[in-house]
Amino acid sequence: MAGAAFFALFLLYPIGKTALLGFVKPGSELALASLTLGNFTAMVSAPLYRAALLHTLFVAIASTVIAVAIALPAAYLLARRPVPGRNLLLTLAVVPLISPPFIGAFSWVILLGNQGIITRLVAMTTGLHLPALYGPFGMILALVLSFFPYVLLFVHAALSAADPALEESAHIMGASRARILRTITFPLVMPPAAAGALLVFAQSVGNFGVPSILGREYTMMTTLIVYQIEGSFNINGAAAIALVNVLMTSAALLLLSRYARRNRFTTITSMSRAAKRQGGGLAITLGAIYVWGLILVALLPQAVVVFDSLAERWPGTLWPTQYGFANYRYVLSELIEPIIHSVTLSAAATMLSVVIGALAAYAATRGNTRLGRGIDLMVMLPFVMPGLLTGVAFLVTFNSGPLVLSGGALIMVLAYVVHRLAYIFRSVCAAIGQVDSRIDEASIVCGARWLYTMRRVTLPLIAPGIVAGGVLVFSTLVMDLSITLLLYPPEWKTLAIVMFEQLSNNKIGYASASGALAILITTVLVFLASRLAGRSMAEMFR
Amino acid sequence: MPRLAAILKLAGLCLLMTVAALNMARAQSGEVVFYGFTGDHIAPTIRAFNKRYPNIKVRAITLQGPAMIARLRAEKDNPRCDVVDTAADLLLTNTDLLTPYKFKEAGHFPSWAVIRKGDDVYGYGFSVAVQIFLINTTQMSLADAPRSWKDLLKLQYKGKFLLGNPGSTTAGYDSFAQMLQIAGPSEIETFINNAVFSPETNLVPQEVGRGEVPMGLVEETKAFDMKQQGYPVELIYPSEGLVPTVDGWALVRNGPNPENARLFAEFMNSLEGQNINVAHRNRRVGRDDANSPTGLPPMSQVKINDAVDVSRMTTERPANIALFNKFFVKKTQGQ
Repeated sequence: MAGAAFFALFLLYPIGKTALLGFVKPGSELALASLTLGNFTAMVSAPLYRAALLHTLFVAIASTVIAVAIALPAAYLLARRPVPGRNLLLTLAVVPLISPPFIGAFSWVILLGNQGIITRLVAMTTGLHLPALYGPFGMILALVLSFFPYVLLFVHAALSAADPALEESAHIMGASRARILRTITFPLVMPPAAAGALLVFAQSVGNFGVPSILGREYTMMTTLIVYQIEGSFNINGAAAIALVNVLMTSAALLLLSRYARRNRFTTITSMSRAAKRQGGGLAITLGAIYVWGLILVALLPQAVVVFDSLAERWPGTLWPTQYGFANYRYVLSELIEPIIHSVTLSAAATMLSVVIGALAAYAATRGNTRLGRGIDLMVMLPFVMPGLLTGVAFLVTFNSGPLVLSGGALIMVLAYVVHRLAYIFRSVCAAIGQVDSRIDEASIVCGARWLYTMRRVTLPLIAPGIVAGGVLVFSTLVMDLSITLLLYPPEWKTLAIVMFEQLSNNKIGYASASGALAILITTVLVFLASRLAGRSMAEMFR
Repeated sequence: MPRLAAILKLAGLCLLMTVAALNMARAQSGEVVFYGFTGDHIAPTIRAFNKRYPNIKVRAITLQGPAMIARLRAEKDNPRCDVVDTAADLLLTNTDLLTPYKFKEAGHFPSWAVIRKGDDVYGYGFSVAVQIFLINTTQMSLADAPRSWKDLLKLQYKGKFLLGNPGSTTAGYDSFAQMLQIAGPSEIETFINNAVFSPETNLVPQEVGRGEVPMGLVEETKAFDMKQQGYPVELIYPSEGLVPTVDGWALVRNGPNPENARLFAEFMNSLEGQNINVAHRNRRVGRDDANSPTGLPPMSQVKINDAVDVSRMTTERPANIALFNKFFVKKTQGQ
């Protein structure tokens, strides 16, 4: 009941009300007389909107396909083969998701821009000119390398938890490794891979930071939403564009649901055991090189942020002309309070997300199919909307009327929860999907109440999914900017706001130092959380 | 697991109680809340204001101009802000959110520095912005660099200069609107075809400094800052002259602390308030008796382009943006 009330008040009401504004004439209140489809016909009739729609679809689909293609082999190798440094790799795999806004995308400019470090080194040594970073190529590169960990971590968690009995039986029966992969392993991992792919797709559709730096004139739907809000405060136009984004994600979601229903396999039963990681030789060596290479390339933006933070002077030369800790000395004096604020708000939002998201996922997967689809859509809607529009939705809804929350920090926590619920939801849905429902049923048949079964039977089995989702929520919230900008009161300035101020003041070194500290703090906190849970970072994603 | 569950429950409860409790710290009497641009002037401004008015607590939220208006508009039914400092054209296109006022020392502000709509004054020039050319001399020699706005229409500069998208950035709009009046509607398509537009204006100076593009249309202070940081850049003042645009402090209609808002706005318009802006941001300011920024030519020595009507840049904004979108789409449709 509490979960339903939360959904109704803080998700359906503000987000639903804002989404409905897409059907209202600009500047008008929500009323029958003001209804119009004019905001949507612009999508079809206006060339700018048509172009943005096609660009968004192209970039999102390409990013998703490539992310899945590179993540699947890595997840398999980490789960089933003795890759050296496996625990460290799984810890590092979370880090690409913690990308400071704007400065993370700008790192690619420093590396691969027209005068980027790698661009210049390649030209100097080989005479080759790398393709231009700006436009779809750069955006897809940044999005793939930022978001493929969703697929990697979900698939790894599923493979690690799955009973290897099927694969072992096939091997005993004489099936080749390739056949086992094709007919058993691959179908087993497709549901969690699809769940991860949906997150990659939704993030690619809803991302603004990457297109704003690397897109240049390749307009995306999120760019148009920001233009509508910041250029003319046309929420109606912005809401219409956001609904089209949601439509695209809903189509992907529908495909995912159909696929999952056809290909759902129970792999966690009462007698499950972990698979042994076996193998050796050249194949494992090459596999290890692949996984290590992939993770290290994905960490390049974070490495650049750290490198730039140590540059006291870097005036457009290939390398900095002066190194030192001056950037850190400055930012540390400014950052203590914002760090505390960011961690407090992110932690509060994460805990609330875990409770609401896990309950919603359970209701969606174990309950009625139609209800499940409805919950799924409600959870994904704010996830696909840019944070700026979610911030506007909350500010407009809770600034006046019966429930006034603006001016404090609670509105930020609630907006964070609503915007990031999808992480927990998707992760737990995938985890529940793997658990044989007969385990729950057996518990209830033996006399246990639903709550006892949930607490003592279901929760321990889906705990990896909950923890994985919680880690993702926390690590991405610490540096949230778009929701925070619209909602933060003066006493709750966060790390992302400080970084944004530093960028606005042309202090890239300070922004990089702040970003580096944010990455470090988030990684340490996630590590401590894993210790508190009695697991290593790697086991959090098993 | 039971121990962890207990710890997590307790931690979660503590956190939510903390956030809820702090959420109750609503607007108190004896304070003023402002939305303004970020900068090194904020802390010294607050200190100086509190020296005069020790019983008024100042609470600051720093944002970019369009985000300030978005926030003010969303809070319209229950304003949280008392005073806002943003670009004049944003103030003048949102006067329904503001209360006009008259400053007793208005005589120190030239007419172009007064943010006026008819008989109502909504603010006085706090910072003066001028758009100039920033050239990366490793990518473009000074001999080859454009010297005027009209030079930007030449084919040799196609794809060579970067600016913010006029639809969502103040600086980008200022450059575009000036060019529209200088070159006229018949040539503006050429300008749009030659330029490269970025959705994010903050990093344009950095991109020029790093040589990603040979040139940018950049606000003078940011351009000067890049040179001070040692980047291989030079500033070029267009030969047609400069078009100063201002931002100013406006009173929010129905703000929670109207009396304190007035005191704060007047402080920021005072000589002391404006000199803090000069000292800590090295900005030009509106008052004619304020100090001049270091390293920049004083306004008295700078040619002003009187042919550009700044008030038209404001009143014609929606039409200008529509014109930009029309040609921008035509240009990018080939992608």
